[in-house]
Order: sequence, then C-alpha cells, then structure tokens
Amino acid sequence: MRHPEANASDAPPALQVDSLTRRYGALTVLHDVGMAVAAGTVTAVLGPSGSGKSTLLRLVAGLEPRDAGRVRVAGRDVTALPAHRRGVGLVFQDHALFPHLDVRANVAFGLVEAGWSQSQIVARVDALLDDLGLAALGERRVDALSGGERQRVALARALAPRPHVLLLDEPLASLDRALRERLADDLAERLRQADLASVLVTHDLDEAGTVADDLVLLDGGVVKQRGSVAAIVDAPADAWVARFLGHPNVFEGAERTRLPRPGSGPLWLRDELITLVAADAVAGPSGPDAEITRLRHQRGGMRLDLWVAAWGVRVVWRGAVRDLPVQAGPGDRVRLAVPERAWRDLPAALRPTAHAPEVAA
Amino acid sequence: MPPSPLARLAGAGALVALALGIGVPWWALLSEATDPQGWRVLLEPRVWERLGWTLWQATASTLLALALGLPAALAFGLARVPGARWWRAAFTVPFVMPSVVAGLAVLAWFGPRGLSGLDLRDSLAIVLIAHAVYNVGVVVRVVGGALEALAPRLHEAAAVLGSPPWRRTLRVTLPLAAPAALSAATLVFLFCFTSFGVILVLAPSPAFATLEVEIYRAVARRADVTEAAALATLQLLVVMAATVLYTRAQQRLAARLPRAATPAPPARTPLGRLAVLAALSLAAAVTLLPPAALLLQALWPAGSSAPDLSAFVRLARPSEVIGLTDLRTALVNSLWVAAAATGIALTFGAAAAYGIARAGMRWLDALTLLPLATSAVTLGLGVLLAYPSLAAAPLALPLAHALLASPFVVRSLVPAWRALEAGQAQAAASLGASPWRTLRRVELPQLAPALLTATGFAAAVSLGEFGAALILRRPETATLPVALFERLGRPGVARFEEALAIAALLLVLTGLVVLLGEVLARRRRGSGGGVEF
Repeated sequence: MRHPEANASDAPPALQVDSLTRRYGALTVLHDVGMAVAAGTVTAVLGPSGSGKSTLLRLVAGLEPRDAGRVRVAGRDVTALPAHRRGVGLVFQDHALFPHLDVRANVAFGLVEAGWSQSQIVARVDALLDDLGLAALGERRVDALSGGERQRVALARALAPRPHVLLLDEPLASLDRALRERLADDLAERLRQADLASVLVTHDLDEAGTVADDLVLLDGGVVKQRGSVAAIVDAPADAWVARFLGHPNVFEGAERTRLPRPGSGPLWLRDELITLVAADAVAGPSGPDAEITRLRHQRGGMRLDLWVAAWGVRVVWRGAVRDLPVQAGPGDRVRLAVPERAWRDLPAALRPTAHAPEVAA
Repeated sequence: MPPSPLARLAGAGALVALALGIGVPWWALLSEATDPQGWRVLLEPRVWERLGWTLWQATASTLLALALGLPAALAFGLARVPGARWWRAAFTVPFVMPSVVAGLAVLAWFGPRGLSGLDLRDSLAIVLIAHAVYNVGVVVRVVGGALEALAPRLHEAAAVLGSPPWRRTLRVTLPLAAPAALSAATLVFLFCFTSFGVILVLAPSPAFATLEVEIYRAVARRADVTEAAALATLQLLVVMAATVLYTRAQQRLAARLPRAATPAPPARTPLGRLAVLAALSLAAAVTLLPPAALLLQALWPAGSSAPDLSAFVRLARPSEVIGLTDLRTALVNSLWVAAAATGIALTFGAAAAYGIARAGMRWLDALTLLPLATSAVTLGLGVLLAYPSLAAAPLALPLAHALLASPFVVRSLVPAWRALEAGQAQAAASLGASPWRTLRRVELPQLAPALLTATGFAAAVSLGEFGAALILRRPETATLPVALFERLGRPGVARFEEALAIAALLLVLTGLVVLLGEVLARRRRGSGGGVEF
C-alpha cells in the first residue's frame, strides 16, 4: 500500500499522500497511509469511528503535525507548509461557520485572504450563492440557517477560493436521514463539476457509494483496501472488509469447516446471487433446504434469516418480494439454489479486528 | 410542557420576597432622596466631583484589567491551553476573595512594610492596582470562557481558507471576543464603580472616596440619611445604565457562540506556545501574587527573621483593647450569619429558579439580578430606612446577605434546572407523582451538584461581605471583615499584623467553603455545577 497507483495522465494527481503516519504518544493513530486523488474525482475515506479518518483529513489540511510521510498538492510538496498556505479546502463536520459574519461574508472569507478585488469577490460569491440555491440568504445571520443551509454555506465557503483539493469531514452527518440522502446526490454532482480532487470522510457506506468514485478503507489507522467502489464491493480484500461493507454471509472458523467447499480460509457467500425455490419443487436447481427463522422488511426489499440444517449455518438472503417462491413466513421451508460464482474465498484478515464493524448495509 | 402551578406559586413567593427585600428598601431610599433636602445635595459641586472621580477611576481600572486580562483570555480562544483546569482555578480566586481581603493583599505588597518596599497608600496607583488584582480574573474567565468553546475551531476554519495566524486573530478571534469583552468590561466597571472595601482599606482620604464610600460616610460620620439616599439614587442610575448594557451584550453573546463538537489542538509553534504561556502567566501573576503575599506576611511578617504567629496568638485571646471585636466573637458571628444567610438564599433561590425554569417566568430571571446591581452599602441603607425596627434585630444582616448572595444561587440553579429534560417531570406525572412529589423525588436530587455549588458561593459571599455588615453593624454582631477593618483604623504594627492575620483566615475560609461546595458537587451525579451569568 505504500505507493499509490500512478495516475493515468502525465499530470501529477491533485492530491498525493505518501506513508503518512501520526502518533499520539505511544498510540499510532495513522500508520503508513497513502492515497492519490485525481482532479474531478471523489475519494471516500471509510472506516469505523476511531479508525483515524478525521486525523487523516487534519493532517492533509495541515491542522496537525505529521510524524512521517508527505503530502503533495498538484505536484507541489506542501508537507512543510502551514494550513493557510496549502491550497486545501476543508468542510468541517460542525460546519464551523463564522457566527460574527453573515452568509456572504462567510463565503467571501477566503477570497479576501487570497487578495481578490472587491468586484471579483462579489461576482464569485454571487455565482456560488446562485449555484447552491442560497441567493436569497446572502445577508442572513448564519445562526438563523437550517442544517441543510449551513451545510451548503460551508461548502460554498470552502469552494470559493478554488482550492486544488477539497476535504469534507462527515459533511452530512449532522443532518437527518431524508435530507442526508437528498444532499448526498447533490453533493456528488457538485464535487464532480468543480475541477478539484475531493476527499470525503464518512462512516456511512451508502453515502460513500453515492458520492465517491474510489474508496479508502481505514481500520485502526491502517489502510485495509483501496480501489473503485465497484471493485471493493465486488471483491473485498478480507473477511473484515466484507463484513464492514455489510455483507452478511461471511464464514470463518468452525462454521466454515462445515460448508461443502474445499479450503479452510474465510468464505463469502454472496447473498444477492442466491435464488430461492419452493422446497417441494420437483424440477429446477438442486441445493440444500432451509427453514425461514426470521423475516424482516427493510428499505429496498426483504431480509430472510435461513437456517440451513445440512450446512449447520445461518444464511441471510436479501431480495424483493417477487423473488420469493412461495408465500413465506417464519417456519416455512425453502430450497437454496447457489450458483458456483456465489462462493468467494477471502484472504484471512491481516490482523484480528477487536471491534465488530459498525456499518450495516 | 404547561407551566406547573407549584412552580408558579414558588415564583410568586420569590417575587414577593424580592419586593420586600429590594423593592421596599428602594422605595424608602427614593422617598428620602426626593425630599427637597435630597435634591439640594445633588446640586452641590462636591457631589459631582465624587461622581466624576468614581466614573474616572472605574473607567481607568476597567481599561487596566482589560489590558492585563485580554491576552490571557485570547490564549483560551486561539488554541487548547495545556492544564486549562488549573489556569481556570487560578482565575477563580478573585471571585471568592472578599474585597477587604483583596485590599489587605495589595497592602501586603504596596502598603507600609509591604514586600515591594513602596508605600502607595492613598494614591490613584494603589486603587488601580487593587482593582486590577480583583478583576483581571473576571476578564479572563468571562472572555476566555466564551472563546474557549468555539473560537479555536473557527481559527482552524480560517486557516484552511488561507488566513495566516495574525490575520485570523484579527478577522476571527477578536470579533468573536468583542461581545464577551464588552460584557466583561461592563461587569468590571460595575464592580469598580461601586468599589467600597478596597477603597476604605487602601485609600481612605476624601479625595479617593467613591460614591459608595461617600454614602457610608454620610450615614456613619454625618448621620445625614437624606444625603446618603440622594447619593445612592445617583449611583443607582449609573449602575442601571451599565446593567442594561451588560444584559444586551450578554444576549448577543448567547446567540453567537454555539459549542464546538470537538476540542481544539494546542498551539503548534514554539512561539505560539510561548505567547500563550506569557499571557497566562502575566494575568495569573497579577491575580495570585497579592493573595500569596498576604498569606506570607500573615505567617512571616516583614522584618521578622523567622515565621511569627504572635498575631494569631494575640487574636486567640479576648481583646484587651476597647472597641476591637475579638476574633472568637467575630468568627462566631460570621459563621452563624453565613449559615443563616445561606439557608435563606438557597430557599429563596430555589423558589425563584423553580418559577423561572418550570413556569417560564423570564422576567423574574432579570429581577433576581437586581441585588447584584444594588450595592451592599445601598442595600444596608435601604434596609435601615425601610425597616428601622428590623435593622436592629440580629436577623437583619443574614437577610441582607441572603439577598446579596441570591443571584449566585439563582444563576447556578436555573441552567441546571433547564438542563433537566422536561420529559422527566412528565414521566413522573404519568407514574402518578404530584408536582410536589416530582420536585422532591426527581428534580431536587438531580440538582444536588448545583445546590452544593450555590451553597459554597452563598456562604463565601456572606463571609466576605463588608458594606452591609458595616452599615448594619452593632458592637456585638461584628463579623470578621468588620473586625479586620476595626484594626486597620488603629495605630501600631501589632494591629496591622492582626488585620493581616484575619484577612488570611478569611481568605482560607472563603476558599475552603467554595472548594468544599465544588468538590461535593463533583462527587454527585446530576445537573449543574457552575454559576453562569
């Protein structure tokens, strides 16, 4: 993981981080973290709380000293520069709007620092406020704004001085769920339109999947996996990652040995590839019978807990009602049709993870 | 939640108590002052000269306290201060230091036989020094406390927007500090404008008398109650104007500074760390060196070659000098007055806070601050005028002290009470508890920390109170501050050393009660623990 993959074009990536390490006394909160983000793309840093993701942002922004490693912005080494000379924007989790300034003055703050002329500032601020639907709020006090409005002002303020890199620290975490989902789409679009490299810290896979092109998975200050969202969801690097991404059927240890598959490493059964058929079906694919032990309705479909007696494990199936072969309820029996490609061997976790992943799908 | 009838009743009771305790004395003062004789007094140039001096020394003292305190307060706003708890504790000392003790502490430096070698008694300098000692901590606590919550985070936000350190101090930290600084300045101005104990101890000559001192002298020396009432009215007008300003600043402050989600990091550069340390050390030195000198001089008087406790030994014996209250009598008086005053203040404060927090009596909130705006001497005078027969009774002083201490009790209880979820009272009601039972079983147990903190503060206010104690004094009810003052008026090194010893005792005593309240409060789980103005 030491060296990020080279950028496709000859231009250096807008943000390149190499071997970044940060210790608090004896505790290493970040260890040898590297990543590269090209202009016009969004990378999500995903991890459970305490994994070091916010520290990573603060180090890149220059708000905290690093113990080792380099940070390059548009090819320029900024490691030794203080925060105000890095050309890196940051959207804080609590937005950190200036309460003594109105919306306009908040957005204009960085432009004044950059020495823009008054007319340039007015034009830029007007354009941003228009673009973000804040035009009517320019003279509003920031403590009179709603959560969603505050978030957009914070974004406008960070975008205004046209930074090469924009860092976002859980920008949607303080909003309620409905607003969060709506703004995530909106944010994804805006970040891609602005020609900058964005790094979004989040603990929410849905948010990362909506906004980001690439993922960096952090756990205990170490990069677990990097790559495109699709690639990681499709091929988790190890059992921890698979569970963290919300895959329910990851088998290890005693459970693993009971499964009718060769090998002893962690095994992942992709729930979305399992087909359910009626238990008494004469024709059709063969597979083990299972008893439905629990049925839950979730966003986007149903989730069945299935006890597969033949394997001695519990398997989770997720899908739509129309995919159920029969009117199913707890206690009913179904048959599992499991294609060969639904099984995936996983490398063992690099090191044991003490805490259970927090993120459910 | 609908206002509770019981809370309304409690609020109404508190209102009646306020009317009797503050309203009636004020009415008596005003009627006395509007006597034609009173109007005539206000036209005398002597009175305007006093008003002029009082305003000028208060303004100069405020500017000095701001100059010495603001750098330290800004340090709290720029970065996380290592050991912030201890610095905060240091700056709390003046809040619990009685005014006469502050006066003696400055004398221990700049008095006859002071550690500095300079005798500055009866000068503008010593008045300003004493007011700075007394108020730098106020500036640091008020401004630093307001900035500490959010400003470091906004400082970072400015940094990532390309703002270098000096620019963001100018564009972010200072504007954020402005309302708090105005608030602190008004508070300091009020303290200095009504300064009494410090002036009587340090600058007794007529040229340095504030209005408050003049009021006392009109009563005590000239027995001219009409003049005193007229002066008190004049003083109140200025105090009211400043209080309105303070309340305004306070409202703006409350609206502006939400709490930050995460703490800020400490200063990064060596220069930054050095600046933070220098600013804090300066303010702490101004605040702590005089009380330290006082304790040192009390145990080891200047000129003696070894620690000398003879002053304490003399004090322990019955006083052989006519007119001097001996320590035992003064201590017993102080303790029972403080106990009675604290009990009354807690009862009144709890009733008022209950009404404010649970019956939405916002205006009562503002009214409970009135005793703070009414200076101690004025209150004593008002009680004397309004209740001539009560003024001679032993309970007069505890009642006056209870009124003076009550704002601290209310300001400790109201935020704690508001922080309790309203849902708890509703849950208790749904489980069959009457409002009274809810108060007893749900609310009061959780308010224990706030009550303990308030107890410590109220007891400290009473123990150290000087103005009302002096004006309502009778020979047999002199408290410790009065006993101290009696000795200052007598010639001789021995008397001065006794005064130092009493001051040291008082300092330790008030410090202990506040500390005890805080420690007990911290060991209880619940809501509150801290006085918020």
